[in-house]
Amino acid sequence: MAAKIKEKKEQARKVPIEVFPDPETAVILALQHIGAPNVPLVSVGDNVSIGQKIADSRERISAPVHSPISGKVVKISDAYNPCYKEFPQAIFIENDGKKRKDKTLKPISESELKDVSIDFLIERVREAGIIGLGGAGFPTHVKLSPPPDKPIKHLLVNACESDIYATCDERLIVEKTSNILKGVKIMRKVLGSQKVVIAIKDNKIEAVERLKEAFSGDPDTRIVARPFTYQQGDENLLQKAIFGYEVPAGKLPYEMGVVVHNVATVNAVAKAVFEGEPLTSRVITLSGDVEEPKNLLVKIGTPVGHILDRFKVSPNDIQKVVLGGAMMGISIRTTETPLIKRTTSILVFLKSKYKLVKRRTDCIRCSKCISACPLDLHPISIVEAMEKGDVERAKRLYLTDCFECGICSYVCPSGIPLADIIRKCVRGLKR
Amino acid sequence: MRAKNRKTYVSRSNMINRELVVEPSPHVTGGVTKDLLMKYTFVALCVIAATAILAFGITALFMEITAVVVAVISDYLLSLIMKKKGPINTYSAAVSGLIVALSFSSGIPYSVQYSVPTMEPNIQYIAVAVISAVTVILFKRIQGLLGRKYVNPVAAAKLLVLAPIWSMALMPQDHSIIDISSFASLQVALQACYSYNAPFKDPLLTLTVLKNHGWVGGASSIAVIVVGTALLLVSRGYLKLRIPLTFLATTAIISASYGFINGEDIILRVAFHLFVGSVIFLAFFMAIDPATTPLTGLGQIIFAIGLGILTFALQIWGHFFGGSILALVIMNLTVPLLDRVGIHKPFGRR
Repeated sequence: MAAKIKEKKEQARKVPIEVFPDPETAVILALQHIGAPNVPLVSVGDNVSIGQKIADSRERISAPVHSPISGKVVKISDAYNPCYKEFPQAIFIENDGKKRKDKTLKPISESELKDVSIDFLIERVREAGIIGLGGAGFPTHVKLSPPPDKPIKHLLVNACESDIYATCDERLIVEKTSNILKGVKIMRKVLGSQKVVIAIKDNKIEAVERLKEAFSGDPDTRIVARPFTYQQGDENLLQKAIFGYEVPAGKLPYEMGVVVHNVATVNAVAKAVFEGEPLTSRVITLSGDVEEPKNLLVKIGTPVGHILDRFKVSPNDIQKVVLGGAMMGISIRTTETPLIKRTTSILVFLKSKYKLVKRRTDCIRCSKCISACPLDLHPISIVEAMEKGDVERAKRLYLTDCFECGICSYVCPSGIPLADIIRKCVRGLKR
Repeated sequence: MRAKNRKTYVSRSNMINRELVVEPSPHVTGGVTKDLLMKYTFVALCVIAATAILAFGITALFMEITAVVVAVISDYLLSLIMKKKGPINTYSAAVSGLIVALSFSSGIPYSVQYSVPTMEPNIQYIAVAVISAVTVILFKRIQGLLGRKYVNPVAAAKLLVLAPIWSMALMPQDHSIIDISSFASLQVALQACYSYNAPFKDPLLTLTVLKNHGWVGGASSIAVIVVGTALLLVSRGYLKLRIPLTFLATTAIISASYGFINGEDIILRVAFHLFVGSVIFLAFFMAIDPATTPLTGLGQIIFAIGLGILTFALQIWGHFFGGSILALVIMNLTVPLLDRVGIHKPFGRR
C-alpha cells in the first residue's frame, strides 16, 4: 500500500509568479550540479555582464555557471554550499544596476530550428549551464546525448512535482505553456524520439488544461494526468507507472529507450535556444509557515536571507529554513546561503508553529516502513542490521538502492529517522 | 550608502550571525504516532468492554476497571523507578489492562453435564489484578529492556499466572477440560455453554450475537468483528490486517475439513471454532500486536496459519479451551525466524 502524504499546496498553487528584484550582491557557487567542479573564469575586479560565463570545467559531466547580474567581481571566496559542503568556492558579484547583457549565445527563431544541427543544440544547452531543475542537478546536455546505439523512443517530461509545498513547476506550466511546447520540440529533435509523454499530477487542474490545449494539435504527445503518488515523482518509479517496466538497478533510463526531463528544465532549454538566455534565474516557491506563500522568479545567487527579508520574515522567528521540498530538502545552517540552480523551494519553519520532529522511541514493528517503501526495501531491517554493525546483512538487504525519498521516516510512528540513518550509512559505505 | 540599503544590510547581518537549526529530511512527518494508535485501540476496546457489560453485567465493568487501574498504576510506579529507560506510557498500559480484563474467561455456568461453578467474583478480581500487574511489570517493562518484545505481554502473563492455578485447583472443575473432539461431545458442550442460561436458546445465535460464557471480550462476536475491522481501517495500514484474516480463514478451513471428515454438522463446527471468544477476540486484539508479530507479509501469513493450526489442535486434542493464548505465545517465539522469511527483491532487481 502506497503511503499518502499531505501536499500542502492549495494556497501557493493559485499565486502567480512574481519577478523578484535583482540582488545587490549575487553569490554564485562554482559547483551547483552533479559532476566535476567548475573553475572560475573571472578574477576579482573584472566587470561582468548578465549571462556571462564565469566558471566552467573541461569535463563532460559538468555545466558552466553564469553571472545573473551585471557588475563587478568583488571577491572569490567560500560560501555555504547547501549541496556540496566540500566545494564552497563562490564568486561574489556586486550589482552595478546597468543591466548590461552578454550576447555570446545568439537566439535562433523557431523557423530556424529545423536547419540547425543536433550538435549545435546540445552545445547550446551545455553553454547555457542547464542542469536538471527538479532537484537532482544532473547536467542536461549529457542526458540529451545518449549513446548512438540506444535509440530513444520516448521523451518523458516529469511535471509531477510531488514534494510537499512545491508549486513552482505548476505555475511555470500555467504561465509559460508555450515555452514548454517549444522546449519539447527542441528535445525531440535532439533525441530523435517519436513520442512524448508529459506526466502530471491530476490535481494540478489548471496546468493540465493548459497543457492539453497547447499540445492538442500534436498526436505524438500524450498528457498523462493521474493521481501520481509522492514517490512516483522519482524517474524510475514514474516510468513503471507509465510504461509498466522496472528499470534494472544500476541502469539508466536511456537503456530502456526513455529519457526523463523535468518540466522546468524543458522551459530552460527553450529559453536558451530561442532567447539566447543562459540559466541565470529560476522559479522557486517560498512557502512553509509563511503567511502568504509565493512563487518567485529569482536570480541564481540571491542569498536566501535577502528573499526572506523582503517578505518580512523576521530572522528571530525562524526555527529552520529548508531548500527544496519538505520531504527531500536540505535544512541550511545560515540564511547567507545563496540560491542555486537546484533549489526548487525555500521553506520557512517558524518557531511559533514549529513542532519538534517526533522523538525516537523503540520500534513497535508495525512494518509500515516496509509497506510504504516504493522500492520494496526493508528500512527497519536495514537500520537494525547497521546499528548492530552487520554491514553484510544490510548489503544483502540492498541498502544502497535507496534513493532517499524519506517516506519511511515520514510514516514511522516511533519517530525513528530511518531515511537519515540509511543515508548516512550509504555515504559511509561509498567512502 | 543610502538609508534604505543600510536598513536591509542591518537586518541581514542579524540573520547571518544566527545559526539555524539543521535537521535531516524529511522535515515533516505523518500524523500517526504510537500514542495515536494506542488511543484508537483503547477506544475500540472500550466498545467491546461495553458489550461485555451487556452480557455479563456489572461484574464485567468492575473487572475492566480493576485491570486498567492496576495496569496504569504499575506503569506509573515503574516509570518512577526506571526513569529515563522507561518513560510513562499511560495509553499503552491502559490498553494492556483492558485486554487483560477482556481476555479473562468468566467460566461456564452450572449445568447438568458439567457441575462447574463460575469463578468466585472475588477470585476473579484478584486474578485480573495480578495478571494486569504481571503484564505491565514483567512482560511490558522488563521485556521491553531487551530491545524488543518477544511474547505478547497479556497472553504470557495470563499463562504464567493462571497455569499453576488451573493445574492445581481449578483444572478438574474448569471448562478447560471440555472434550470437543467428537460432534456428540461438542453438542454437549454447546448445550452446556451456549444455550443454558444464555440470551439466545440457539447455540448458533449465542455464538455469533451475544454469549455470557467464555472470554469476557468475546461476548459478542459480531461486535468484535465490526469494531476490529473498523480499527484496522482507521489505523490506515499500521496494524497487520493479514494476521486476523489468515488466522480466521485457517481456523474456518481446518474446522470445516474436520467436520467434513467426521460427517458432522459443518456449520456448527465452524461457528464454534470461529466465534468462541478466545479465538475471535484474540484474532483482532491480541494476535495483531505489532511488536510480537513478523515484519514481512509472508512471515505474517505463516504466523497466522501456525496460530490457527496450533489453536485448533490445542482445543481438540489438548482439551485446552482458550488454548489460543498458548498458541500465540508459541508462535510469538518463532517471530525472529519468520522475520527473515519473505524478504522480497527490491525494485529493479526482480
